[in-house]
Amino acid sequence: MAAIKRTIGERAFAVFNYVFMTVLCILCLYPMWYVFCAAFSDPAYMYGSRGILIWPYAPYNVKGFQLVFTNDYIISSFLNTLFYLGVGTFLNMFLTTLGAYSLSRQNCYWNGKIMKFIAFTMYFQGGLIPFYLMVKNMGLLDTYSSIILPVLVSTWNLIVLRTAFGAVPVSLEESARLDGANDWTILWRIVFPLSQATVAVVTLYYAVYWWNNWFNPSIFLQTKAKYPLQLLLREILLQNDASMTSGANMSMVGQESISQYKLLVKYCVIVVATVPILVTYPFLQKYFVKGVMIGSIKG
Amino acid sequence: MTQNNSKKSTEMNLLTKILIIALTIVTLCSLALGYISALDQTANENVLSYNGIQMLFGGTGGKSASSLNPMLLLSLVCYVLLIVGIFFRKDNSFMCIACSALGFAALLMFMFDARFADRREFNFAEGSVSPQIGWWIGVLAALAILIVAIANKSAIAAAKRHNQRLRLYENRDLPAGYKDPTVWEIIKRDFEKHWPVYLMVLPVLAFYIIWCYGPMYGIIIAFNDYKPKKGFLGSPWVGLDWYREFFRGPFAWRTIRNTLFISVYNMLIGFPAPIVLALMLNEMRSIAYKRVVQTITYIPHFISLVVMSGLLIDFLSSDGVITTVLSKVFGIPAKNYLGYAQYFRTVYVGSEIWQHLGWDSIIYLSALSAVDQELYEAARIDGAGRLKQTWHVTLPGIAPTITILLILRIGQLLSVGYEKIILIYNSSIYETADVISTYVYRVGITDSKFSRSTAINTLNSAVNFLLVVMANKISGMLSETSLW
Repeated sequence: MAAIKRTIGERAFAVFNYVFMTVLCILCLYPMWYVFCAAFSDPAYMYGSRGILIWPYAPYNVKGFQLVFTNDYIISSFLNTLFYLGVGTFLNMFLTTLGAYSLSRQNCYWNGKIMKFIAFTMYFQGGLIPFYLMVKNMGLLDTYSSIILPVLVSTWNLIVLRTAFGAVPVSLEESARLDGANDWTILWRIVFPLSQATVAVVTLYYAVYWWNNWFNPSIFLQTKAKYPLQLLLREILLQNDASMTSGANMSMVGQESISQYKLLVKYCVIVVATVPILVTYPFLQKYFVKGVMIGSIKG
Repeated sequence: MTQNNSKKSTEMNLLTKILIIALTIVTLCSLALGYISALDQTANENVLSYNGIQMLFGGTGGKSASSLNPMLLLSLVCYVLLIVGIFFRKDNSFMCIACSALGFAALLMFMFDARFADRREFNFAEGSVSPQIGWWIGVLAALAILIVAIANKSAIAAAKRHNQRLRLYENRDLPAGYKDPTVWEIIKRDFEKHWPVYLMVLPVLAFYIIWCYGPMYGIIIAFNDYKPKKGFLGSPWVGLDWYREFFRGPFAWRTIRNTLFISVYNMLIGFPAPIVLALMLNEMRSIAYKRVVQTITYIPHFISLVVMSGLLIDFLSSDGVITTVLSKVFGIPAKNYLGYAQYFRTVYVGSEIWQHLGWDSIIYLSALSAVDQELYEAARIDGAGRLKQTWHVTLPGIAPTITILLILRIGQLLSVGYEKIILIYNSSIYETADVISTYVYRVGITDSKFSRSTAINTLNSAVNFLLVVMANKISGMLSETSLW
C-alpha cells in the first residue's frame, strides 16, 4: 500500500488532517486545563483580569482547595453522592437483572405483553408535574427515597441487559435444570456470570447517572445536607451561593478578598468534581465504547 | 383437502367490515347532528359574544372563526383513516382499534370541553352549549367500533392459533374430540409452568405501574383546575381551557419556535459533524495518533452537565477566556455572551457539538471498519483517488447507519434537552432560550401552576410520541431494524 503514490492534493489533505486533529485535541483539552491552572493561580490576579492561561499564575496557592475541603457541605454532598451511587446502582442492578432475566425467557405467555407495557413508557411519560405530584402525594419530598425510588429501573438498560441474557445458549439452562436448578440459581449462577461484559456496561451507565444526577434532587430536596455533589455544584457555580465563602473557614483569607476567593473556589470545585471521572475514564473507556455499540444494536 | 377446508380465515370478514363502516358513518352523521343542533341553539338564543359555532371552530369573540377545534379535527382524521384502512389493508384490526380509540377519546374530550366551556372569561351564556344528543350517539358508535374491532382481532388471533396447531400436527391424527385450548387454559398452563419467572418480574412491574403509569394517571389534571386539597378527580373540570389559554397567549409561539429552531440547528450542524470527524479519522495513517485523538475527543463527553454549564457561563462572561480570545484575536468587543438573546442558539449548539462530537463519532467509526476492504482495492484498480473512494465506497458503506440515526433523530425533534437550558439561561434571553420544556418547568415547579404546566407538557409529549412512532415506522420500513 505504501507503494501507491499519493497525489499532491492527497498529501495536502493529510497535512491538513493532522493539523486539524491536533487543533481539535487542544480545543477538547484546553478548557479543563484552563480550570486546572486557574485553581492554582493567584486569586488577586485572576480576579483582576482573567485572560488566557497556559500555566498557573504565580504565586501558586492551594488555599482554594483548603477552603473546599474544609467546607462541611462539600464533604457531606460528596458522601451523599457516594451513598446514592452505591445504594442506587446496587438496587438498579438488582431489579434490572431480575426484570431482564424474566423477560428474556422464551415461551412465556405474558412476556411479550409485559415488554410492550414497559417499552411504551420510553415513548410516553406522565411528564414533570404529575411525576412531582406523585412523589409529593406519597410523602417522599425531601427524603433520600425520593431520589432513589423513582429511577430504580431504566428501560433502556433493561432492554440492553435482556438482549444479552437472551443470547445465553438455552442448552446451558436446560442442563442446569436437569441437575435440579431453579430459575433463581440459573440466573445468578449461569446467565448473570455469562453476560459479564454487558452487566459491566449497564452498571457503568447507572453509576454515571448517579454521579451526574442533579435534576430530580433539585426539585425534591430542600435540606442542603441531603444534596448530592452535582446539585451543590450548581448552587456554587451557577447561583452564586454564598455559603462556600462565608462562615468560620473564611478567617483564612482577609475580608477584602472574599470575592476573589469566590471565583477561585469555583475553579477548585470544578477540579474536585471532575478529576475523579477523568482519572477513572481511561480505564473504563473500553466499556463505555462497548456500551455505545450495544446501544446501537437495539433491543 | 380436509385440512384446507378446516383452516379458519385470518382476515377480517366482510360482515365486520360493513358493520364498522356503518358505525363510522353513524358517528360522522351524529357529529354533524351535534354540530347542527349547536348551531340551532345559537341562532335561537342570540348569544352575542361567543356562540356554539365559534366554539366549535375554536375562534375568538370579535374575530371570525379561524382555526378548527383540534379535537374535532383529530376525530375526523381518525375516522377517515379508519375507512381508508378498512378498504386498503388486509388485516386491519389494529388500525381499527387504534383509530376508533383515538376518535373516541377525541369525541369525549370535545364533549367535555363543550359541556364545561360555559365559564368565566369565555362568557358563554348559561347552558348555551350543552352536550347534544348527536354527540352522545357519536361516542356510543365509536365505542361500538372499538368493541367490534377488538372482538374481531381476538377472533383472528384464535384462528391463527388454530391454523398453527393444524400445521404442527399436519401428519398426525389429532385425538378424537380434540379442541383448541382456550385462552384461559393457555394462561393457566403457562402460569403453572412459569410462575417463578413471573414472581421475579413482579417488582419490576410494580415499579413501572407506580412510577411510570402513576404519573400518566396524573395527566388528568391537564383538564381540570388542580387544587392539592381537592385531589386529582375532585378539582373543577375545565376541559381544554389550558390549551386555549396557552395558544392565545404570547408564550406558545415563542416556545414552539425556540424548540424547533434549537433542535433543527442542532440537527443540521450537530448531525453531520461526527460523520465528518469519523471520515477524517479514517483517513489518518498513524494508528497510534488516531487512538490518541479518539481518547481525547471523548473526554468532554464525561464532563457533567452542571460543570459544563458552569464552564460555559464562566468562559462566556465579559472577562472569560472565550470572550478574551474573541476580543484579542478577532477584535470583537468583549461582552457577556449569555446576556444577549442573539447568541444563545450558537452557544447552545456549539457547546453541544464540542461535548459530543467525539463520542457520537464512535458509531460511525465502527460502521466504517465494517466496510469491505476489497471494495477499496477494486476502486483503486479502477483508478479512484482517495476522494473518489470516500465518495463512492465509504459513504455508501455507512449510509444505512446514517439513515437510521437521522430518522431516530428526527423523532426526537421536539424534545430539546431542557436540563442544560435550565442551567445556562437567564431571564434576559428568554426570547431565544425559552423552549417548551423549560417553560413547563418554570410554570410548574417555579410558579406551582400544576394544571397549566401539565397541559402544555402533555401536548408536547403527545406530539413527541407521534414523531417517535412515525420515525420508528419509517426506519423499520427502510431497514428492518426498528426499536420494536
